[in-house]
Amino acid sequence: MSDAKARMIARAAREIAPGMVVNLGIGLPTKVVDHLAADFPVCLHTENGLTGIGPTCPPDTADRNLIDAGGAYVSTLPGSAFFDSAVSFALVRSGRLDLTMLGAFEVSQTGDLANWKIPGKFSPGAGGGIELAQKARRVVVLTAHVDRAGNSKLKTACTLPPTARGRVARVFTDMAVIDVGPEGFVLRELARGVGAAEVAEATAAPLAVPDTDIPTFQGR
Amino acid sequence: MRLPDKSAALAEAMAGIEDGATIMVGGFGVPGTPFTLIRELLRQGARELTVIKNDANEPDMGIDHLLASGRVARLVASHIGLNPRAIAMMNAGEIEVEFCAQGILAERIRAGGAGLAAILTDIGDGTELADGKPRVELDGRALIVETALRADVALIHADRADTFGNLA
Repeated sequence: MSDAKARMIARAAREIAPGMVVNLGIGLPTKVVDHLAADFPVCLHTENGLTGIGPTCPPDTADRNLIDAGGAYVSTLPGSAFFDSAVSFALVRSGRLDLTMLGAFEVSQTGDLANWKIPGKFSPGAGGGIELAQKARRVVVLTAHVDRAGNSKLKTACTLPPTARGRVARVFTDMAVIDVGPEGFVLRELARGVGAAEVAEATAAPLAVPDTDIPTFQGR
Repeated sequence: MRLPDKSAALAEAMAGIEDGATIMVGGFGVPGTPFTLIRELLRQGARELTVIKNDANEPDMGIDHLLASGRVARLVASHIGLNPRAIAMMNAGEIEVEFCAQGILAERIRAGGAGLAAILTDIGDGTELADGKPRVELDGRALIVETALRADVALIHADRADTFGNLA
């Protein structure tokens, strides 16, 4: 993983406040857990039916039936609870999650998220993503700022089928922290060594840059 | 008085699954997937199956064997991202895939098992998962009707069972 990506993940971890109930989506968000202190008080939820995810386990010591939604071998904590998929998503839909962190193919300036289908190419399906994006109290996205072809993943409107509309509040990228407000994208923080003009250039939508000092995030 | 003994040998327990049957399959990825039952279903040869499962397992695992052998006509699932064969077959039109949000899939199955016809939800609003589904006006909201799911047979994994069919 690039240093810029690692710094983004470390910065995103600081979004989690003590006491929160949090779901970390498959992919980059799952790695946020590595940046939480061992005694940090947080209840991590996973779609397949566990609250209170403990540290990940190497395969030789893992319980092969105890995985998170991304398939990683995990452990439990004192107070962890298991439940079926119906209860798991009852928790999600009824607004019990303080925060979810999701990956993205695209995010629009109105907070739309696309992350489940690239028609005719890669359509993994939404899994729990639709309910998480639609119902978590706060939805943030972790993503590379541009895709492998160099195209911005932050757009005026999603070109791919949306997962949920108007729900993304903040985007963490390898270049910046960007809020999604009533006025669209607003630059909040810059990655070390990146300038505001560079971020605006890499964003395929208007980017508001507040007329104040923009903090730099360094990572851990 | 005693509870009936429902135990049977594998081939006998799985007999009678016909072509065109609808099969619910438990599991989330590897955990909970009934690998032995799927292998027997494959051996017995039923075709044109509708499979309802959270996912499509991974290559060379579980229901991927049914896909690879051309036994599946239709798959109802929430996420098939770990099985490139399932995605390729869907893109090539060799199987029909109905995607369903994970928790709504669970609720449609639960509703079917509980004798309900459908559930009402706003999950999927503004996405193509809501396309073509009936709506019901309730308290000023146009809610999506998600129909209950039923199957001819459900295949589930257990660590232990008693002869009456209580599982652990």
